[in-house]
Amino acid sequence: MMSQMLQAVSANLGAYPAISLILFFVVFVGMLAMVLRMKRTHIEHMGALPLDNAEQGDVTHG
Amino acid sequence: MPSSVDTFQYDNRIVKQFAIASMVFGVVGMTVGLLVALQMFLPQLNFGSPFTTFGRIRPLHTNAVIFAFVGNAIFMGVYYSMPRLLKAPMWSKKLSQIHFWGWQTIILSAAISLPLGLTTSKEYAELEWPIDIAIAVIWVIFGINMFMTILKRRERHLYVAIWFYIATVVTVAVLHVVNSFEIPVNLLKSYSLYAGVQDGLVQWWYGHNAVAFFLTTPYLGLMYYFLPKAANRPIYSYRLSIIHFWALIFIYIWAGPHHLLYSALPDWAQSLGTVFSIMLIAPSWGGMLNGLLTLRGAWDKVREDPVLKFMVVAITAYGMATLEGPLLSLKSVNAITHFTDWTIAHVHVGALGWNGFLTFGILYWLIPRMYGTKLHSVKLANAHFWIGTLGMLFYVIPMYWAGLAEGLMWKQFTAEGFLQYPNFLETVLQVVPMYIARAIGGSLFLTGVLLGGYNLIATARGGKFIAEEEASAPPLEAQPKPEKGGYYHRWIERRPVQFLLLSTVAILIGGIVEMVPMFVIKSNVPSIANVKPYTPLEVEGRDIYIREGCVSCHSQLVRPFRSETERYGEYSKAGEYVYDHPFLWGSKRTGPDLHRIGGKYPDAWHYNHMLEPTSMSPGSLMPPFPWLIEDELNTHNTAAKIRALRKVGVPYAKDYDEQALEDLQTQAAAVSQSLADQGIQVDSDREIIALIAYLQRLGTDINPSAN
Repeated sequence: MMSQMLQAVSANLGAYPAISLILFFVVFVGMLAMVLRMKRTHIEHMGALPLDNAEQGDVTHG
Repeated sequence: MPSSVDTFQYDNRIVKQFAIASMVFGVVGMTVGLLVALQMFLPQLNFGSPFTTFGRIRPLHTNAVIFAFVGNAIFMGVYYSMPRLLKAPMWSKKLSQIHFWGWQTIILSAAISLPLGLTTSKEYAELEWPIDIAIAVIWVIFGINMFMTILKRRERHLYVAIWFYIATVVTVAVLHVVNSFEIPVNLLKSYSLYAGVQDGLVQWWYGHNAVAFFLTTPYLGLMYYFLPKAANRPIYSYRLSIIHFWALIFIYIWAGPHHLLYSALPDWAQSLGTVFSIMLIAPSWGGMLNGLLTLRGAWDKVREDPVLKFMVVAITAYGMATLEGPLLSLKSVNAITHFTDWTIAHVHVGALGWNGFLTFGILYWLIPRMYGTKLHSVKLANAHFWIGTLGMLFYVIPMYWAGLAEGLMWKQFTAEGFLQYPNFLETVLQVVPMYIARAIGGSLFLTGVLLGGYNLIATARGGKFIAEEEASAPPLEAQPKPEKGGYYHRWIERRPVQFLLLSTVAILIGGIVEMVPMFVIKSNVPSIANVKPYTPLEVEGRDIYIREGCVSCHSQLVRPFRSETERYGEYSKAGEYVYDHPFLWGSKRTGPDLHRIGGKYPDAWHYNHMLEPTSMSPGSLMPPFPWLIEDELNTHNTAAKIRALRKVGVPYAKDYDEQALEDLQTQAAAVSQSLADQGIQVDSDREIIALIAYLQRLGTDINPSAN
């Protein structure tokens, strides 16, 4: 039953390895390019997001 | 600039509820863990009752720790951090409450159903189908609440922790649904839609990624929020966190087959698992270094602040476990460590170190803040830290030692070419001192948790709970400012729907590439003409095997090593499992493999062995199963079982369900007669008869002379 269902979506099984390699390559190169092109001001804004909230007084552990 | 500023309240009540649930179930889950650890060298602690016997209690421990302790801690952290990162309260308090009570009800039903022996036997997915559906519903409710909050946010950009939460919600849903396809027999019993090798692949795709997307990604989200909070400085490299995220979710999903090395799974799938596991070192260590380097210039704080101490050890444990995992995925290493206690050590570095210590670090940070006070006792928290760390070491070092000893002893040949330790029991008894040391380590860790629980309760009592925390922020502008540069990640960071779709695609690719060919290409599971469906009596016997959790300690997979074919017989072939719904390969050998047990011993041996294992194997640590001899076999569902198995593809003849009971009784009478011939009087309608029939059938299809 399962194999019948899957047969319908996988007519061209031979292309799987090639497709996955290309996808893999594109995702990683794209991601690196994206990250390297990010602006410093934006990175600083993002990094500071968790620290934005004012806390309930001084509650350090001591 | 917007002219108005919105004022709103964060709901701390739901955070508190999940925190309490996490601590309570943490103590329960670890106490059950201690019990099963003790049972491993004191079989009398199985108490002679089915409800407290190792095979049924062990999944209770794993489920309690993973889904109750860690699960509730995830929700605690998400419900605290997400509204604050988005500057918006949770979308619906009602859905938060339904989520909380729904999840606790699921935990309760697991705590009842597992000791009753209601299990699918698939690791970390043991719960039966009605509970599976409840999990899916509650998970979707959590997802809706989360996603609506994201849509109503006042901070346009989604911080990296939120991405990890989104990936968690999506992937856990996909994993849970795909792995839980099963055909019900009745309300309490079902058969997996998949069989044998395919079931194994789906299960370990699920099992591995449950570790990835339940125990890792949500905790990484928590790390990226609570570590900067506790250290009061931003994460070391936000760029690195982006790479960490995309690489991790994309690669993790492929690595499942490394749980099945040297199994009957086709070689190409095993190799994919290995390659992607090695690649996983990069993002994992990127994440660990990102965490540790956040503390650069602040290590003096680590000396004083127990919160940071817990977090540093947690992140270090993450790094150790994620280096160890890829190494265990190398075939040559796996050959020695798989099925041994090494695996137990590995998972406990993750569970005790990464999940446990990060949870405690967060709790020590969170509870004083939610109660507007200081931690009751820093000294006690430090004591918890040291007792916990020592407990962890006392736990894992003996288990590494035991694992190595087992792996080497199983493979040791004499100069003459015979197995040096032909009796499996010899290799078990050798590691008993390590089991004792492990129980001591576990008790230490639990002691630390109890101290922590007391400290947190005392902290709460010393303060006043702040149920609603007021905050204000300007609303999102309807039209985003025109972008300068329009860089892609800025684009995706502000579009949660597209982000959700993209991360879903990333996690689906690996699963599809591995699974579709396994199901579609016939040559991946070469069929064997001799392999026939189980008889109705054997089906019932197999269900008893599943119910009693035999798979916790016995594998059904002879790997193609000379040391295994010498010990057990012919190695296991993919085609032998085509009617195994579910597969029962197991992941740990506390006892020997059973795939070739059929015909190895007379029926009377099995009878005596189940009644009192030490009578056949002096010194055996296996619990006795006397109820199998007293209890009558329930045959009310036999016909329904045959029908359900037909539906999942087992080729019983049409209308065979009507014939099944008669065939069952005929075969049972024959087994009963064979026992009588060997001097044992037992009625043919007892459970033991079915179990013996199943055990004697195991692995004999390709070697008919064995039967």
